[in-house]
Amino acid sequence: MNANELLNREELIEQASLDAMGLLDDFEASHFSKSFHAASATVQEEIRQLQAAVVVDSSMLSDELPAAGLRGRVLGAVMDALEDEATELQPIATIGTRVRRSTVATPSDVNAHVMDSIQHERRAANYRAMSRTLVMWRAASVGLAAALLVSLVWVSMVAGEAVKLGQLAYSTETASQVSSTLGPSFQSFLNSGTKIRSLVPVNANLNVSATVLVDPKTGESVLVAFGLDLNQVYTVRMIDAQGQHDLGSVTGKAVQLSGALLRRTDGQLIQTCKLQLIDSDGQVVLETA
Amino acid sequence: MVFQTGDEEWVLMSRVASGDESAIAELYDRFGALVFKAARQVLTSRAESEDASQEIFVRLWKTADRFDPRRARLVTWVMLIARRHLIDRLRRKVSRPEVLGLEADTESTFVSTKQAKAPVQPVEANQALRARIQELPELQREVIERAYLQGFTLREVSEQLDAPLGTVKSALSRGLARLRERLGDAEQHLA
Repeated sequence: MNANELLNREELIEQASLDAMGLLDDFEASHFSKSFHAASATVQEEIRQLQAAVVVDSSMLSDELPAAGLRGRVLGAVMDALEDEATELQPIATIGTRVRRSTVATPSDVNAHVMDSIQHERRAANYRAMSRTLVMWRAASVGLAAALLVSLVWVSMVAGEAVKLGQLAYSTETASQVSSTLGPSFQSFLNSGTKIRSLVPVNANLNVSATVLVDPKTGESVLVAFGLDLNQVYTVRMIDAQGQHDLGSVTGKAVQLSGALLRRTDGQLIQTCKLQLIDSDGQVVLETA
Repeated sequence: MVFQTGDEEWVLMSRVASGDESAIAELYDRFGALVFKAARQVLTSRAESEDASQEIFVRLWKTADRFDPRRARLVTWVMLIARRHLIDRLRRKVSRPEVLGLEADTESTFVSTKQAKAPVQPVEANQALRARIQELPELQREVIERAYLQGFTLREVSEQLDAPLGTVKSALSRGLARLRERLGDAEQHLA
């Protein structure tokens, strides 16, 4: 098979059942996918229908039904795996130290690239919260900006709200929050190719911040936000030359981390277009600079 | 905007990806029986099929964010992940044959790639399917037994049978189509 030659309709039809049954190897499956995407919309729909019919064909399936108890065991297994992954995510507090855990799937320095950015946004949110509650913090933080951790310890003695936020910022719970909010999808953004876009409040008094992580290759992106109003639903909007498109929504969790997978889009475009976070009243809360 | 099936499926898988328990339950309710039936078709015992089903749903959660409704229907994606997992499991068995317990329905003999030149005796989890496979032309029968029931890659089958890859691919595709037709005819006849 010539790798540059795309499969025609007949070849796609012939291989559609093999693809759906996982019988093509990685190279062939990738070639099939490439040819599929290059095919007309009509052929694509034909393939989708054919594959959906093939996989449910009763002649290729056992007649036996699962035991009623299997449902509980399956759900238990998935929830256990979810918890395991949450505990395996490297605690943010250790980023920057020499500690490395072999159980972490991606190199910690690559994680740090993304995590640092999130942490940066979180620090910014904390800073805004503190400045509202304690004027002294503003002056102190200027002098202590280089040692934010020390500042937070100091502030914790005098500002109740700052204590709460400061502790949260450095809590190892943050990593598990990221994991439980975004699930395994977040792992795919822990690589050096991930692009980061920061959203800043349109109103300086708002203690909110957000980061959009973009995989430019796939066009997949996630939004991670701090300080969104509890249970308030926000819309993520992308504005480009063609107009505006909603990429998804995120539900606020106050001082807890909020996050959402966004609708897949053009990987390059999302790096340059304007992004906005809009509250349920239609007001822009955050936007890219 | 018209709310399409693809959008609904994308939303469901996004919820699954984020670890939403109710979404995972919904995914099981829609596809649990199908996944189990696919496992039962190629694995030796109910217990093993149930274990595989659990592993498949964990895998579905881990890969949920890769689901693309423009590429395939959700049922196709679910069964693709299931089949790939089952193939991995079959391959592990090939390299490490297990001693079957009392729960095994039938005795099975898995063969290594090197041994595969010898006649194979694949799992007989579904007698009707096995009987129909025996009625197929030799090449189609050999290819289906090795690729579909034993988890060999098409390249491995091509080497084992000393046949061009394209020929193996065509034989498998035609054989599977023929099986579906024959079994469909048989079911109609019985009805």
